[in-house]
Amino acid sequence: MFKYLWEATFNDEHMISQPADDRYSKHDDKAEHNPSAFRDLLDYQETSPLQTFALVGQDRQIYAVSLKTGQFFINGTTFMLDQPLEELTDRKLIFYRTMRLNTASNEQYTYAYNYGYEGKHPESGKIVKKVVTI
Amino acid sequence: MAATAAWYEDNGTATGSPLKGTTRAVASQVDWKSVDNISTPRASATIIAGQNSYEKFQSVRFTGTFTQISAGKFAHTAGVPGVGITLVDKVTSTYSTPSTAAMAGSTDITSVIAIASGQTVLFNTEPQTSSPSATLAATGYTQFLVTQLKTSGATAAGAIGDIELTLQWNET
Repeated sequence: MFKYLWEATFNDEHMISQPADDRYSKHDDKAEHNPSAFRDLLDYQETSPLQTFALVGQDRQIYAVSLKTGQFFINGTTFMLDQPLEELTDRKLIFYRTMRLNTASNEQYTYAYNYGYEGKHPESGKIVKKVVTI
Repeated sequence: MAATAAWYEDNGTATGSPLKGTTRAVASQVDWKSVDNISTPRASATIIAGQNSYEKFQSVRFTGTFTQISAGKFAHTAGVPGVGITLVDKVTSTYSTPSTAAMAGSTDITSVIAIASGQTVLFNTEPQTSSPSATLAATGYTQFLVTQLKTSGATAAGAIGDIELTLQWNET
């Protein structure tokens, strides 16, 4: 169902992988609403900061970001979106799927996967977002 | 699993507090026509040239599994209504009994645009609930996405082509 599943690694080396059914570990069948497995990632950040976030395709394509260094990894290639001497601090994960539903087909579909981080600019202190869309 | 999104339509006299339609049902299309219901085929309820369709009060309901929905956008993304036809809309949390009077406070969306440039849509437990939010973290709806077709004397007889309206959102 999902083209990419996420894998999260935390500073304490704990790992969480998104299950194929996106089921939250505390899923309650009797609840009116259950969050997705992404809630597990958010919950664990209370225990240990997130270090690396990766989107892994069914064909093992890997798109990842290190919140520690700001480096992005795409299938073996590493690059930065932060400029030298302007590396953001206090990086926080950004991840979402962009979804669409239209009246013509009446089908909902995933238009894009987006991941990256937001952080504080070292000089201006402004919150800046760095996001890659695949 | 992920969120499941489905179009809904309110029809009939405004009722309740806050106001909503007398009926709310799943809508598989937007049929602009000369009666306020979801069932009459548009061929049986044509719009006379120079008049307007009834306003269509639609919304999208989100169920299923998701942690957060945000960044709602709504736009006319494909299809040309034709000569003498204007498509207007309004994103609102206020329901009023649909009418054929020109919709007050509406925006002309006759021209196709990219969904990224669409109108901002907020979320809440019900489309008519006040103080909608930019994010949704439980089962709920968009605001009402109200549309209306306005015709003129220059409008040609016959069905118009398919018009595509799109809702876009971000989801985790």
